Amino acid sequence: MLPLLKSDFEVGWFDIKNEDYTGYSSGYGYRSHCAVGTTNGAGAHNVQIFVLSPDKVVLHALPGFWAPEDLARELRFAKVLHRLWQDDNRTLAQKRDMYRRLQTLEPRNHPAATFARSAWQPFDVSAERGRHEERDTALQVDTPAMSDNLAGLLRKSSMMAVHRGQGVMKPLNMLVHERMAVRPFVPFDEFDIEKFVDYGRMFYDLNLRHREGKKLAGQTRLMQKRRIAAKNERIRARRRG
Amino acid sequence: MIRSLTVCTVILSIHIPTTAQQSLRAEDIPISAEATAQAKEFQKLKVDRRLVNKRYRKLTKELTWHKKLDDALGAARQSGKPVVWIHALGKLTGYV
Repeated sequence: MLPLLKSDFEVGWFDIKNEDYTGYSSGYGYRSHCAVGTTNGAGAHNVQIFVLSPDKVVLHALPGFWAPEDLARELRFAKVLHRLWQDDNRTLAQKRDMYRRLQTLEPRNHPAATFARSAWQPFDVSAERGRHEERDTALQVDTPAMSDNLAGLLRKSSMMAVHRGQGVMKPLNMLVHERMAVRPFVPFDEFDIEKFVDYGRMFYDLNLRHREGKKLAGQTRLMQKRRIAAKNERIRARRRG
Repeated sequence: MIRSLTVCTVILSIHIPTTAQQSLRAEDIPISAEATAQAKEFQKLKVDRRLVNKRYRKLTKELTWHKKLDDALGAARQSGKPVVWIHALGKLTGYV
């Protein structure tokens, strides 16, 4: 990982403590040991990894933590997108079209291990099930077409938790590429980070019953805005009938 | 690399009419019980704090971390490399 970053990228770090989309979590203590393993895409509100072109265009973005081998693959993929962006023989429209295709196709190159590491955390699944709005986090399942073996594995694996009885949760590696596919070569200043990382729980309370997390001023405003939007959506749905 | 990208474009143009048709379906997702077990083991992984601090020292010693995006982009324009720009809650040490 380190040699790849050193040889092929410039690197930078920004503390997002005061941003609206940040979740202030109870987290784990770190007196003796630090938890380093998690699922890909966990902690999306607290960590975002962007790959930018020198002219400040978002080539790729990853929400949350990623296992080293998966992060390395995504960075190599971002290098392909960088070459596409630099290609003078294509128009902007052609580049964007190609970008969408590459992003859509990329999960097909991911091994089973990456999909397994991209499972949803149970608390994020319940947060998604509680959202009363159209979501892109569900994957429809054509159950009759599945083999018995696959259906059995789905039931056993938290990786494919059922999404409100309609389908299964879309693995996060897949969700990320789908969300990036609709953001082709967007300038960084126009990139909607808040929407991009909008999945799962805002706060992780480590079962300490901080249902609303430890609030920061900007986040309280965001939560209120969301509650009002959800309420309005429910009213509109009721009126539609 | 540019050549491989061109070949890839040609292949995509011929075989892929729309992106929607190429989205993975649930049935296409590779699932392996072994991979799932390994992923669950990885989630439990904890590392001694001293080792984390050692890794942090290596990370900051071997890489130049830009604190301002404009500086990182300036360096990228000179080197021609893309920028990995990380937004994270807290410091590079891992602590808030």
